[in-house]
Formats: sequence, C-alpha cells, structure tokens
Amino acid sequence: MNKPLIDIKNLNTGYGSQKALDNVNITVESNDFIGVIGPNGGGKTTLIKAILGLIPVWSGEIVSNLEAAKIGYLPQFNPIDKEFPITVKEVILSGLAGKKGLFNRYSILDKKRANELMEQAGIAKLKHKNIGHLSGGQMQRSLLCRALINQPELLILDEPSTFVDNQFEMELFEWLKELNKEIAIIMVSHDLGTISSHVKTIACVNQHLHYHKSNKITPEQLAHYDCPIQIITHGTVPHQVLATHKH
Amino acid sequence: MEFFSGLFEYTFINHAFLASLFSSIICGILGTYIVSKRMVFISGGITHASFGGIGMAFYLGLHPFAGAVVFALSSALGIEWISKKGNIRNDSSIGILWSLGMAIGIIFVYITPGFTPNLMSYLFGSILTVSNSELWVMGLLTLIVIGFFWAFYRPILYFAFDENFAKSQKAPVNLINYSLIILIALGIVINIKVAGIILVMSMLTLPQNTANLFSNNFKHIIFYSIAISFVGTMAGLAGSFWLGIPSGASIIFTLALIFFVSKIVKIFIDKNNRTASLL
Repeated sequence: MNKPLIDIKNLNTGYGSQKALDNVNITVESNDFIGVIGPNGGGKTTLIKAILGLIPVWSGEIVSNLEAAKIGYLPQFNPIDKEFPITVKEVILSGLAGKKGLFNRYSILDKKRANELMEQAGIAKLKHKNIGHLSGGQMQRSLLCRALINQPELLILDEPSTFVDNQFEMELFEWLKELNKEIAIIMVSHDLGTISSHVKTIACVNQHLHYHKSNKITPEQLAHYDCPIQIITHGTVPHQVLATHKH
Repeated sequence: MEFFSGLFEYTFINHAFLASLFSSIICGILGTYIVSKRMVFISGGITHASFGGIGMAFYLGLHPFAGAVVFALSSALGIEWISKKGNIRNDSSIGILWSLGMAIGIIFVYITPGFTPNLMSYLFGSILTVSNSELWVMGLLTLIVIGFFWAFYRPILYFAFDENFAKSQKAPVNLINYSLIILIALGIVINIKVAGIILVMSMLTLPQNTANLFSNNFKHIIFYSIAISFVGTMAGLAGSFWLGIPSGASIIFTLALIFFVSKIVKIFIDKNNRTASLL
C-alpha cells in the first residue's frame, strides 16, 4: 500500500494561548476528496494552516510524504489585498515561488503553463489586467490557477465558493472532479449542502475532528460529532434549514 | 540656461543634484514596495525611532548617522519580528517606538553639554550640505537597492502580495522580508539627510501614490516614482532658492503639489472616459 500523503497524529495547536484544535487525527491518501466542515471559529482554517506549516504545532505531529511546494493552496478570499499592483499573469506565476526559490528564472515553459491554465479557466483575456479590476469569480479562477501551476499532488481549497457566481461554482466542481482523478483534494466549506455531492468523505471540525468516511451525513450524526452547522438543501424553495444541534 | 550652467560650478549644487538623483532612486524603489505592502506607518515608526539614535550619537560624540543606523535597524528588525509573532498589536507597538525614539533623541540632545546641533536640519533635511562621503554612501546604497530588486524582483513582488501563500510553498519569505526591512531602514537613514525625519515619509509615499494614479503595474510604478521624485526634488530645490525657503519643506511641498494636480487630472480623464463610453 502507498504511504499516505499526509498523516496527522494527535495534533494540538492554536493561536497565542487559545487552543483551536484538540487531539486531531486524520490521514490524507492519494485520490481522497475530503470536505472539511464545521462551525465558524471551529478550527477549519487552522487545520489547513497547520498542514501548510503556516502555524506552529503545539504537540503531536504532521507527517508529510509530499515534496515541499507540492501542495496547491487556494486561501480564503477576504484577506487578499485587491489593491495590490499585480497582474493576473503575475499572480498565477507566483504559484511557482516555492519551486523557483530566489535564483531560478521563470522559463518560457512556465509562462506557457500559465497561459494554458488561464485558457482552461477562461481568464486568458484578463492576463495583463490588474487584480483590482476582477470580479469575485475571476479572482477565484486566478487563485485556483496559481494553486495548480506547480502541479500539486494535494490541493487545499479554503472556502472556494465565496463571492463567486453559480456558473463558476459548477465549473469549479467539474474541474475538481477531473483533477481528483490524479490528485487528492481537501476543501473547506461552511456549507455542507453545496459540497456533499462532490466530496468523497467529510471531516467535521469543531476543535475535535470526526472523520466521516462517506459523503452522506445525517443531522443526527452531525450532532453526535458535536458539529453544529446549518444544513441548507439547495433546490426547491422554501429552503429547508435544520436547527443547529448540540448534545 | 546660463543660470543653470552657472549653478553647476558650485560644488554644493552638484552634490545636491547627485543626492536628489540617488535619493529619488532609493525612495522610488523602496517606496513602491512600502506603499504596495501598506507599510507606510511602519516606515514612519522606523524614521522617528532613528531620531533617538541621532540624539544619543551627539551625546557620545559619534557621527549622528551611526546612531541613526543602529536605531533604525534595531527598530526595523524589532517591528518585523513583532509582526511575525503577531501577538502584540502591531500598530500600537509602532506608535510606542515612534514616540519613544523622539523622546530619547530630545533628552540626549538636551543633556549634551555645551553643544546645540542644528536640529532643524535633521527634522527637515539639508540637501545642500551633503558631504562627499555621504554621497558615496548614498551611491553605494542606490546600487545595492537596484541590484537587490533587479535580482529578486519576482520573489519580492510575489511574497509582498501574499506572504502566507508563498510560505505555504516553502519559499524563503523571511529572508526576503528581513533583507528588505534592513534596506528600508538604511534608505530612511540616508534620506534623513536630504528630506529630514519629518518629511522622509513623503519621499516614500507621494511619488508612488502619484504614479499609482496612472499605473497598476509594480514595475511601472517604480520607474514613474523615480522620475516624479527627481523632477519634484529639482523643482523643489529651485523653488527653495527663489523663494528663500528651507529646501526639505520645499521639495515635499512640490511633490504634494504634483500629487494633487495629478489627482485632479486623473479625475478629469476618468470623467471623460466615462462620457466617451456612454456615447
């Protein structure tokens, strides 16, 4: 059997003295498609940041069998500075920042790959546009291209469908399905209804992590996992909204 | 024309010309980074903290810029370290550093026996008294800044845009950040001579914001800033001659004037484009 891509054992971490994740265990295998759900402030983004090495681990360990820079990352949309003087093409090429280090030049091949990705994402025309001129969907497309340019083996997306149009959301899930044939995907969402039909497994994060090895999950199971999120079924109006559960 | 060729016969005018050129290049490049990365307040903190070093150097009988370098570097590295830790409010710690630096400077200047240095020249600059050795240092720093940005242009731009993403790719973000904050500290100290403590901030922000009105491209903003900065400095100097006002204040006033005129021009251009697109 292949080694797992990421193996998290008894992970404890947080910010300052505030614990955000308590004794978390999860294994990410190749071809996994894990949906990470949980309440706001429950530690979803913290888990992502720990995997990416952006915050220190308090105790436990994160064993990675991936080469450095082989994790593609699409961060949350809001903290990105939309007034920063940078073009779409430059944003996408910046996905190679880790591979290139300080001294390697960006080759014609790199630029070709960036062009291909932009074609695929339907943003080729925006190549030289400043990011300040993009819509939410165009921005997310650019950031997704940035995450993919270094041909990652694991793709991590933090709330990819905020600020985007429905069309992009559909295209995104199609694209991810295609990508998932080759690479593993972890996708954070606060909206279980949107992702459950696309992911293979679900991780409920609310300081603790409960790994649910199916994409079907019932409100009772969520309650059992102490994972109080709102379930919104999309489709016919009126939306069915279940109350949040607590033990 | 004879007036200008006559001017260049004076060494101090030559010095002022070169000093303006060097300082336009240093500030044009570093300022574009500072403005893009929203570090203007951080730079203000470093600038004012360095006054503490100037005062202390007077007291100890050292060259004032040696003191300024020490204070600017330690405050720059301190701010970078604090913002990396992220557990103290960043803007508050900058505010503390800002006022503490000024206080230390004033105290030491006051207790230095029998000597009152020309404080005004450190607050508002004295481009006309730049010495030969200071010019050499400025020239050297100009070359270092150009070389650094030329060699590491992409990493600098990419890391400044999204530091966390770059870190997720295991890119050497801290190395670039620390190198840049050191260059910024040195750039600020050098420019205290030209623009002065109070006004060095304008050299790092006004030309860049003027350039940003007409371009959203990082590289173009750098080049436009250098040009605007140099033209503004020269015009400001000329103004200070004719009107008999202090050079530092005159330069910054000119740069601000260029900014406001450009802003008005830009508003009209935008308005015209809007009407054109409606027709």
